[in-house]
Amino acid sequence: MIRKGGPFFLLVSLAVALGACTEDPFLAVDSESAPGVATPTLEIYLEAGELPTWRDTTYWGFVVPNSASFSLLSDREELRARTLGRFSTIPDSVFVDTARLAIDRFTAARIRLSVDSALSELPTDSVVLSAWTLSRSFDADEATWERARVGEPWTTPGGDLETLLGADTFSFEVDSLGVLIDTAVVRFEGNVDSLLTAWRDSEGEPGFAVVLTGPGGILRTSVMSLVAEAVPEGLDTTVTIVRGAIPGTFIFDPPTPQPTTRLRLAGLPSARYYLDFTLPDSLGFIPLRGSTINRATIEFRPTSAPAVPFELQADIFAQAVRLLADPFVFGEKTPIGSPLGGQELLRPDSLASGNIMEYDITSLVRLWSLANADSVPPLRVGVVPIPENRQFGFWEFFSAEDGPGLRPVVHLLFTPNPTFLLP
Amino acid sequence: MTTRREGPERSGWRSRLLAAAIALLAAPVALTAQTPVTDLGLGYPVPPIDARAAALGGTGLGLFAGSFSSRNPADLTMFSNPAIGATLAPESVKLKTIEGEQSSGRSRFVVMQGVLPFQKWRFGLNVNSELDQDWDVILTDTLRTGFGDYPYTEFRQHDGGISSVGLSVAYKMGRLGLGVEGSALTGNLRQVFRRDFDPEVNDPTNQIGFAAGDARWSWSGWRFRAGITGEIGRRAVVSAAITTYTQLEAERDTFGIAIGTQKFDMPLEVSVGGSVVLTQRLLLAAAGGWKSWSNTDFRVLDTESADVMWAGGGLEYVGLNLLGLPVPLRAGYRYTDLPFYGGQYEQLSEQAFTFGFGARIAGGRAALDFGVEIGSRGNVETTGTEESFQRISLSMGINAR
Repeated sequence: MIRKGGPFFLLVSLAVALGACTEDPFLAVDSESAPGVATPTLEIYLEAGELPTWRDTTYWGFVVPNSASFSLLSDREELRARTLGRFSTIPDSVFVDTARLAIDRFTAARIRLSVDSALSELPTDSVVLSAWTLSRSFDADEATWERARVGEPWTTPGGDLETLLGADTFSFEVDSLGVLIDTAVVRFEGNVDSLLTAWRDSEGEPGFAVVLTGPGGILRTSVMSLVAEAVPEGLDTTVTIVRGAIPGTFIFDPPTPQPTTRLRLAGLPSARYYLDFTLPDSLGFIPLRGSTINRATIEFRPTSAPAVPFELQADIFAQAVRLLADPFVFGEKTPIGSPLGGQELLRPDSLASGNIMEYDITSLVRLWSLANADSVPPLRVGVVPIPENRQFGFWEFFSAEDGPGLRPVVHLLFTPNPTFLLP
Repeated sequence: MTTRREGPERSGWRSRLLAAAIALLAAPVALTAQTPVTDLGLGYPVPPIDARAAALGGTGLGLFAGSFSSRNPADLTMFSNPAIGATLAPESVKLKTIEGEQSSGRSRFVVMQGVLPFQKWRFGLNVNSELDQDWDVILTDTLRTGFGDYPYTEFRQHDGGISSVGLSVAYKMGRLGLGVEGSALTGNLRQVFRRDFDPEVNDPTNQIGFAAGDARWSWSGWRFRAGITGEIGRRAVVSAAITTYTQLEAERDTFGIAIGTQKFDMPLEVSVGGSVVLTQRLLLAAAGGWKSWSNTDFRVLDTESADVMWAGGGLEYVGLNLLGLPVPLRAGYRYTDLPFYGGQYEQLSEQAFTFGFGARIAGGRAALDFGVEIGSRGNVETTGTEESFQRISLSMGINAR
């Protein structure tokens, strides 16, 4: 029976095998001539003025000189800057071996500055660094070139210098090993023990200032510390103690310009810009909400460089972040959420050439597109510098209040839902 | 570096969108030289015939000794014993386009016919493929945008079709047989679109998301068929059937841009056929018919329908024995118009040379039939679609006579 039916079982197997074949798709040459539903992927630029609503603003003060990671020293005409501080943690005892001994006296002291030679504009000629006591206390968060604190101006703008503690001349050149000098030390003259004891008893009040005198560079210092030699009671030796300036800040002139209607990023006080906008549900008769958002960005056109000395000096990053509340209600205190895209590099030379900054907001617009009509999320974005505490300079971008062609733009790449039809 | 120079021209977005929107509206159904027949109109009509009828020129009406085809319920009166048969008909296809030929394949479960005799009554159950709507297409291109240039692969698919499930009753009155059938038309169609973008050509880290969508339609309708068959002497059988339908309804059952239920008028069908025993070993079969598909209107202006004429015939030689089994040999030719075509083209027709063979095994309690159809449909220049095909039909029946 099997022998007789063999050819037929073979045919059955053949037909079943053919029947089980997966159909190979046809290859079409182009979208328009291919059968089936075609829905184009559309690209659109929507300027702030073309959107149903758009609000933008700059908030600043997120970082002030007191909380910045650097200080400036300068004696340039376009920028004068001095460092202020207090050594408020000078100890009255030290550890020697395993014992803590009271300090009998201080024999020497100096202020040590760590210079960020990569970001400083090192003076080409010799400059003098001097350390002074202040005759007026200052509030580190409020002190400026003009005032010691709010409502209390310096007698002399730039800080009320009282007694010269020490001075030295520096020439920032490469040493014999070809390495740039990155530390400057100003030794205290006079009765060091009396000075440090007074600072210890008064928690550093009223403070000190470090002043750079001489044309040329701008020194950017990252760490400022007191290095003192102390003699413990009952011992004939000295112990070196090191203390940082707490608080430590710097004051400068001219002050950073107030933000205008332009959108500012970075600077000191550090600035961010926040915006809040709505997208149209449809563009003409093409539905936008409900479409697949392939890519969405917001673009900002840079203005020309800020006036010296406030132009951005080095590359920084910036990032678009979600805003968790209405920035026009909560202002600077608006809570920020997760990042919306990657960090974008801001290069001063590129910005000066007018190159547009673009931030990816695809995830935000995608949520908006997918939301039900009764729960459409607001489109709120903040642009923040990263890191925020390292830039003295800033850059500004045109806002919605500028003219057409300059205003921020929402750049969308989207694919409307296919309109599936039967013939 | 993430800043960039000016992008494309930004002014006049409304006019650019308008152009895109026009393309959007124009695009949904492109009936062009790359369209397989299964994408035309309501799809490709699948003849409800078994392998024997396929080998005999696609007749399936009034075939001597009965047939598992489902063209006429009165033909059930030719079965004296309970029987059930099923037919598979995979088809390899070459779609001819202006750019060349492409090969694909379609697999179909064509017809299943069961019959239960009770005295002079015959009760039948059939499941048929009616309209094949399956096709897949892939295309590749590059999207050029202000974000960059993204190569993409686009996948479009229609997966589904319309089938029928029918109950029939036939009554044998001497040499005459009368039959009626009621069938439910049912089925689904899933339309799929997906566009996958590769990373930007010069920057692998620059990527954009895919786009996709799909829709599901459910088909429903009713078909009613009445037929008559009669023996003329002992050497000839003639058979005729008339078929009418309710409207075919398509209901969208997925979220999307709802356009509600769509209805299509279905044709009136008339078919006539028969077979004659020419000699003791030679049988002639012939059949033909007409379907008024021109009554079917479509929303899409680019799709047209027209009446269909079909005819076919063949010879069966029953004198060959192989390995002790009788092996009937069959050959024929058939012609049929196809009902749907692109508006700017002419109506398609299909023609095929057919041949095949069969066997009755296990003392006639089982039947195997094998049919081959080699033919073509359409002409790429005049009808917009052209396919050549080889269809292999295999029927398996139990307790058939």
